[in-house]
Amino acid sequence: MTGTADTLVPARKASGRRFSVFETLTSLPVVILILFVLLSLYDARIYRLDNILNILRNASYLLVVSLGQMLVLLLGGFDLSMGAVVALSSVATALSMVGLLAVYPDAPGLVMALGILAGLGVSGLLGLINGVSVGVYRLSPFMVTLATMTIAEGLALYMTSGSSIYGLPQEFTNSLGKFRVWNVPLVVFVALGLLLCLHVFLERLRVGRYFYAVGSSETAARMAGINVRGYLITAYTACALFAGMAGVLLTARVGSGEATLGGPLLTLQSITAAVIGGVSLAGGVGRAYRVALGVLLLALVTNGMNILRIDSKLQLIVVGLFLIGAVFIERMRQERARR
Amino acid sequence: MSVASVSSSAGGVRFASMRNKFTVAAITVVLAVGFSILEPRFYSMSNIENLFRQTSFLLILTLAQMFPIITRGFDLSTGNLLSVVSVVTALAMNNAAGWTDSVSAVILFGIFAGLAAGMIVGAFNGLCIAYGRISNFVVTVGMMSVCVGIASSISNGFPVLGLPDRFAEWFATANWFGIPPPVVLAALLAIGAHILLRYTLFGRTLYILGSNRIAAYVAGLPDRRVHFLAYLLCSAGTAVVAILLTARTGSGEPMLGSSQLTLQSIVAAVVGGVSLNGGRGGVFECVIGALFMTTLSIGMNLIRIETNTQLLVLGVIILAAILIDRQRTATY
Repeated sequence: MTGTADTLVPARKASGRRFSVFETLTSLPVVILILFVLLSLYDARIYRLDNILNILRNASYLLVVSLGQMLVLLLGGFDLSMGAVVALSSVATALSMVGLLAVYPDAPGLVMALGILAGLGVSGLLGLINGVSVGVYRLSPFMVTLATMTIAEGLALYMTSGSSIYGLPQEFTNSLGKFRVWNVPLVVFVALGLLLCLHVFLERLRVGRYFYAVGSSETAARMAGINVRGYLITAYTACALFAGMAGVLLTARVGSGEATLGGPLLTLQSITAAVIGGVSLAGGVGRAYRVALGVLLLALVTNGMNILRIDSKLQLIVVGLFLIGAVFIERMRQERARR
Repeated sequence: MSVASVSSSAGGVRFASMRNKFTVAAITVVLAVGFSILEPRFYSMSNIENLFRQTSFLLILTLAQMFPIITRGFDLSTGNLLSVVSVVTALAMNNAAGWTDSVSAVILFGIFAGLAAGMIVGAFNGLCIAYGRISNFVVTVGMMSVCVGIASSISNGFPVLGLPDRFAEWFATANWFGIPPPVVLAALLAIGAHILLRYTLFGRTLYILGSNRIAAYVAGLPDRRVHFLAYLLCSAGTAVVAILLTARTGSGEPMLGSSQLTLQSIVAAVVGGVSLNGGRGGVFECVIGALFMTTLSIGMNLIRIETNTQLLVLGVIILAAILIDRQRTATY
């Protein structure tokens, strides 16, 4: 609501500004670095290569979801159904692959492609429902995505009767789940590729810049001749497709279709990561690479707490306070920048 | 806007909102009749008592949730706060039993501790949201996570047993004037909330805060204090539900509440007609919404609809509810 216009282009405000200890110490890369060094000093297992790769891999799944969430947040909405869509996509992918494998046992490539398409298709459809409800019928994103969350959750549980779906083609788990390039898991490259595409799209293309215009002021965007309705539908559909992709990737990792993948916790984590990365819940503010930094910070904190053997109950308290603190600091940074 | 519908205003506006209010009430009656035809047990005396008991829990939760919703916010931590208050109440009672022999003192101490725990959480939420101006979504989601952590760590994840029997007698099995205590309390709280909303500066400011925050500030109303109190009252009401539920189960349960319950209370409020856009809705809407949700869930259980299918039905109902909500907005 307040001053989204002057934070729209964060790069400009940083230049020509005097060095400030507070701003430097609270900038994301510095926080991540300091935290990493401190954790490493405390426990040498943190900076071992396999742990770093582990952090990156965990961050990749969250990044795919968070990037989708960011698109919707940019338009001033949010998507509570993402976690449930991840589960639904996993179930749809696994069920169709198992079914198709029985028909075409000799063509695993075809089975994989169709299975992934099925997962993405179902996700896209739910996203379309969200987008049309919010964009055309002007319904509250909170309630709409709450409804689709319940529907997706119910569908996923209904289709599996609550049990896991085994019997996926070996090629699927071996390629997307276990394959490594130069010892780095394939999913890291997939996530980075998506990040790069989205970054170029949002920063360099006119259609991408329009996301910020619509998010800052729908009325102004409409006056300027932007198809606001189309942007809302696109954003929610794309958001669900990102969730669907995360569902496919997680299914390959786990090796079975699970109605319990994702869930509300993943949705909340994606919003948390985006908000820590400076995306405003009011819309119109946020950059893709900063969301990636937010994801990295969250993954590092989680990994650090696991390695330090912090009780999982205490971890929840830490994560909760961390979220509130991060947003509070972000708010202080913005107010200082405006002065 | 809502203030207009409260005080004397254009007849058309009032008629439109009344008509919609009764739509949901009528649907509830139709549902009840339908369930009774499908399953005669639905209108048995024991089930009706059960219906009112369940409704009263949901109603208090919904009334609590109503305050932040009117200010155009919501509190996502209430469901998990239930667990914290339940565990704190039980632990406090067990503790007090060590230094006093009076059972009444033990129970009162427990209730006091539970309410205090709830209000501390509410005060934290309110401070961050009203005075720190952090988004209510972020604060209450963070608090939700904190609550899950606190409830399971102070109880070590196990139910806290050994509560005095009289606690359950007083608040669960007793009859106050022939009516179960939760129902009486829900009715009293509903009346209290109604008076608060309609006849006090707090209530008026709450609505203006939801319709137009800047207007509330410019008019010199105590906007921040009211915003703060909305979240404090929300947590306090939630604490009351937690204490009643603890009396009913007879133990402090770290798994008593969940985010599912939070969402149910928000859905109940919205189905009844409290608008998520703020500034509209009151006690009557909450009563209708809570009755509707409870009738539906008890009915679906009685005619043995599977849990997974119930989720689907719930999702479709939420969508339908907000479509009605949209039409309501359009009449203005």
